Amino acid sequence: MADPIEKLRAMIEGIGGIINPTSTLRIAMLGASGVGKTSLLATMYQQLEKEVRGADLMLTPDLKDMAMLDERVNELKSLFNSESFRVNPQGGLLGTEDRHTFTFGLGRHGKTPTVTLEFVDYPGEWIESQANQEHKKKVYKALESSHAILIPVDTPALIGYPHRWHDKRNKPQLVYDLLKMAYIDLKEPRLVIFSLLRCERYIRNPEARAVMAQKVQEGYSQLFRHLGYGDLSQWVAIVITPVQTLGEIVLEGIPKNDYRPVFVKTSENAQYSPQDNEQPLRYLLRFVMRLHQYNHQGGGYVDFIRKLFKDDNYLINASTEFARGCKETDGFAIIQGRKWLDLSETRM
Amino acid sequence: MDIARSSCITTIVEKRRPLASRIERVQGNLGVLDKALQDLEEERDQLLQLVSDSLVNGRLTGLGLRGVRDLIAEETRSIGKLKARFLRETLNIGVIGRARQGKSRLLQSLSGLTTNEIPDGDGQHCTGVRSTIYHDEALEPHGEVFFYTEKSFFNDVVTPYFRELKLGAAPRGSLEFANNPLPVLPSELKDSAVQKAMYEHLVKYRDHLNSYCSLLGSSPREISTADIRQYVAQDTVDGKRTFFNYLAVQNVKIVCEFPHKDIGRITLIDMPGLGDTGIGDEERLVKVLGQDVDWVLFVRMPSASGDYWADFDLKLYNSVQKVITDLPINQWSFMVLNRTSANSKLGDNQKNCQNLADNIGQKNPIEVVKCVIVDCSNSKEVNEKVLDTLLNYLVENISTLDEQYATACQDRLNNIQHVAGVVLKSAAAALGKGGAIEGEFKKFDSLLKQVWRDLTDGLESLLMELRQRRDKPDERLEANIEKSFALSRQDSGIPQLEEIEKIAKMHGGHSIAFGLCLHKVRTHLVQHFLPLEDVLQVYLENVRRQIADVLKQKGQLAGLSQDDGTAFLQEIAHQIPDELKNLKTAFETLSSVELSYRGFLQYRMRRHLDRLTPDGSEITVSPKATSVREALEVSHEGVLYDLEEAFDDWLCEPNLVAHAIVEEFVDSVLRSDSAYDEWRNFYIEMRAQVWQAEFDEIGERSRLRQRWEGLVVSAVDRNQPGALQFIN
Repeated sequence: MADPIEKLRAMIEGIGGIINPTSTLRIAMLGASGVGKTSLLATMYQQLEKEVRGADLMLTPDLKDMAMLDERVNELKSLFNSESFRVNPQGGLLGTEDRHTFTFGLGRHGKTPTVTLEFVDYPGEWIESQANQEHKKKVYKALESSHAILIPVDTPALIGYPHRWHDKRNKPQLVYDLLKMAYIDLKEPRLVIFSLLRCERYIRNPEARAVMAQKVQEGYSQLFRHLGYGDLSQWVAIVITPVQTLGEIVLEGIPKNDYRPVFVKTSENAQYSPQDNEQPLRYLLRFVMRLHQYNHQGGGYVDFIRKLFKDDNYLINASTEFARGCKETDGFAIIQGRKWLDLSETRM
Repeated sequence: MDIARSSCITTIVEKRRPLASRIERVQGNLGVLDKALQDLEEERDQLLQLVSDSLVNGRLTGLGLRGVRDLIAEETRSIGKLKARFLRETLNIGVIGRARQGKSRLLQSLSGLTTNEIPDGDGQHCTGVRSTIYHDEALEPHGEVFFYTEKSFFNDVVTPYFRELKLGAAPRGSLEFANNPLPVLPSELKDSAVQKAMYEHLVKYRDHLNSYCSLLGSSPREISTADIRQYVAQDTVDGKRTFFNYLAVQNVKIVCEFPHKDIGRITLIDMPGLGDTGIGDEERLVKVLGQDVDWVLFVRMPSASGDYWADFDLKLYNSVQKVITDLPINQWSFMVLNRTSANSKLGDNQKNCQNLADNIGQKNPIEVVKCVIVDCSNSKEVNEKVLDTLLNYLVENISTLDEQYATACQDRLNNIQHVAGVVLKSAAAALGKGGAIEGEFKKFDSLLKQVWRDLTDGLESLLMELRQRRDKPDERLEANIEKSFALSRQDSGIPQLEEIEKIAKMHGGHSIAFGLCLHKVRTHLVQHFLPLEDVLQVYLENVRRQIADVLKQKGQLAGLSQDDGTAFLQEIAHQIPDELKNLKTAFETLSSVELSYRGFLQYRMRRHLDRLTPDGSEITVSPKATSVREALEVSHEGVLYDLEEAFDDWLCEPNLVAHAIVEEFVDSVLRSDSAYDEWRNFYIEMRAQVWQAEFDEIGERSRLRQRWEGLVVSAVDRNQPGALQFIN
């Protein structure tokens, strides 16, 4: 593995090269390594094919990422291969990730993708331990210019053994510090998506599901207070999306003295059956479509959206339709900034 | 009229009885009250020796116990007279007059007796024997003679002479009287005719002792009327024979039929000696008179040569007046002026009779209901003018007089009840309030001050210690819980494959077998956690022991109970008086609060055990025993993970609970408004046990106080309003 400092430098420099200000939708990912970001992206891309097949909307990974994401999906599927209830926790579930940027194209089937989605990973621990002031400034800048921020949450760490693993695994303090600096003087709408991963056990239990949003707000209370206060509350929309990357593999429990959550299949014949993995993307497009409407209504927002969709009305309508499929119950929630997600206006 | 009068007298006499029995009850109650006051008085005298506090001493000394007891004694005598009056079978008429006034003549005229039974003063002077003469138509006339006992003879007859004549110590018996010469009359008394006459009487008593002393102490003697004279007179009517028996006679009862018709239950009492030259003890005679008479006839024979109401008349009148102070004598007396005719040897005194009658109550205080001039030797005249008038008067007025008499007594009894109430109230407050005698408070307060400081400090320190521990897991509980988990993992109770197979076959499928086995495994798992019950109890007992230790050592309460921990706290709760509510409740709560497995853990564990129920399990099994067994294993394991996680949270809770329990206790017993006052009262109560060395004396005094308060309460109980009430 390369020297972390080198990696960070490369990443930060890469940001400038990747960003195409006119046609790229940028999403920053703030989460611990091993939390399941790659799995999230892999299943998101893979599930989108299923979910929106009828809507003529296609998400295509960058070639350099495609093989890796496919491989990840295969790894996830292979977890179901055992004849036992028990699941090897390694591999897909706790794998380390080496890549920091994933690019997807969004477009109609058989056509060159119109919109570029760029997910950039900022592993918190690197920034925390290695970055100097200059690096940090660049990170803040990159975060500030991202249209959305995706915060993957290790749900067992958030909910199990309160206060014991959450701070270590999900680093809520660091997320707060970064966003606080990044959103100084924010004057544009932003979307923050909390994606709850490995949450199958909790989402299946009605009692646990009911308090899920509340647990997130408690776990990130400082951040919620900050974003919910003053001007920021006007610009920042926050949503919570629990995603089940595996479906029929659930948390059995967390051993007392070591954060090595144990997972089991719900039956010997359990099937790979991810749920709601496309929801973060739906929220993202809902946010973007709302900005597009806002732009048309003379909201004075940047002409970025028009350029982004290159006036492809067909794609815009398809995306809007797709965005209307956002879930808002059963653990899903819009915590604030509904106005930046309101698609009640008629389609274009 | 006569018949009506006769039966009226009977009714009057009978109506008196119930009152007599009510007076008797009050007399008894007076006695009981007096005894209670006497006990209190004795206790007071003891306390005065023991208590140095001048304030308390002053209060005790000032208690008017003696005054109340004197009132009771006096009233006991008064209502004794009233009771005797109401107990009588007859209405009694006392006949009073100095010697040679015609008193005996009057009695003869009234009773129909002769000088043989009632000696008159024509011969020797009066004997001093008191006679009661009963009217009874049904009985044969006869007499009953009652003699002095030797003791009453010397006490009531001889001793007053010795005292009056200043002759020194009186003899106490016949031998002593007979064998010693009579002391000479002191020279200063030799010139007094009265004293000289008395001395002569005494000489006679001594000189003739042999003649009558055998009669002293004899049983009453029933005699024929013919024999009466030898017991009441000094000689036979013809003077040929001399008697000395009368010297031993206390009184004579004569029963005969009075000549006047239909007079009812009437008794005449001859009261000799009153106003005469000193036979016997006037005071004693007055006392007897008071108990025995309803009416008095004064007999006075004015001199034919001129007369007036003299000093001796006044003196006699005053003596009788004292007999019943509750009824003015002018409401129950007649004056009979004995008229003598011109052909008697005394001459005609008619003019002077009229003169005295006119002057009665004029420039002299002699007042009577009626003044009658009559020839006492004329039976017809006496019966018409005196007896008839008197009986009519009695029938009309005696009930009113009785009522007046009784009311006066009742008023005094009410007053006694009131005064006793006031005195007892002072007695109740005499030792001061607060359970201690004021003088002790100085020492007590300084001891309490120190103890309060130590106790506060001790409890606050304990609370501080618990506060520091409250967010930390309890180590003992943690170790025991780890043991429970280790045991659960080691001994899961999951059935072997063969057994699972058997269950599946018996119950029709592996899925059902899985459900049944889940119940088994769950039940088995819970068993490993039951020992925590004891751990929790021991834990709480430790907390209580810590508090108890502080109370014993810092609060110095070790002397109050031999127990430890909870038992100690329970005992203290028991000893705290009910009125110290706050303190008592705090101790009761502390000693009764429970921290049990069931109350504290069981219901919380249950939620996590859901995965070991068929409904709560998320797992679906394949139709084979291995699948069921593995599913049971992962379910069991999962539940243990969850329980471990949950216990991680609960481990601090006993410390939290302990802190809360102690804090609530400390709040109640140290920080509430009434806390200090209640502790103070408790320590006052318990001072002898708490500070044994310092308060031994007070302990003793405390017991004396309890005795004192007990005696006061007992006296108050005996002074209830109804106790001294015989009329409403």
